[in-house]
Amino acid sequence: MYKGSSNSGDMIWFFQRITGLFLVILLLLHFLLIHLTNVDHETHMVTFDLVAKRLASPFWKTLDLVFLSMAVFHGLNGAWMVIADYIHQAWARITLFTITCTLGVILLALGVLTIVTFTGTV
Amino acid sequence: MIYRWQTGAIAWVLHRLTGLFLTFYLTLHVWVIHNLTKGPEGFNEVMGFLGSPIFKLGEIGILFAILYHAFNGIRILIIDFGKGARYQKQLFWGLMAVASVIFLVAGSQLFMDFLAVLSKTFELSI
Repeated sequence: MYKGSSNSGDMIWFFQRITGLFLVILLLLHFLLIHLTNVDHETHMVTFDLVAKRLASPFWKTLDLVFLSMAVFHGLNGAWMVIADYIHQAWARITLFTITCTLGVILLALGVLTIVTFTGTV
Repeated sequence: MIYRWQTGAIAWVLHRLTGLFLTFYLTLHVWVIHNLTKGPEGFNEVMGFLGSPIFKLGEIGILFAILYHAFNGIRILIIDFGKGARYQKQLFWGLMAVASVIFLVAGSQLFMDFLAVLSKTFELSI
């Protein structure tokens, strides 16, 4: 029964906080910029064209990629922390850890694909 | 055995709940945005579906989760990296006050959008 150790996990502990700090800034900006100002005035929706202006540029692509990586890490590491608090048997931990990491890889791959291949034109 | 609920404990539980919710939302969000690869028609179709009133209301819920998690997160950073442990209760209420102001300002805007979309939906079905 593994219930945690004080001999390891220092870097993960630190990265959870560092990504958290950056995400505070990036996520607040992202939400306020996209959901409040970048919305079509009649339909109150985000449209392809509104996104196109931004996401075609290398600057925004880079920012969004960094933002996505940090969000996926912080979120899934957070989910693992919760799981690790309640699941203690080795086989269950290994299984759930594998699933969590796989989910992370899938989300990252999907996001990178979307951002990198976006050209703004059809 | 009864657990005595205190400020810090409630803050911790809410941080976990909002965190799990936001991670779940992130998964959905990456999937939705990936529709950009389907071009304007595909993307706008998905966004149209998400423009319905109930999702507008959901946005306010997401705003709450983001603001709570971010500001309690700042409190955690101050406690973990500074000398915040002694003032954790004051930090909590102070930061939540700031978060509430932002929530009222941004949330009211989102609520206006919700009402606008709601009235449009009813106009169409009459």
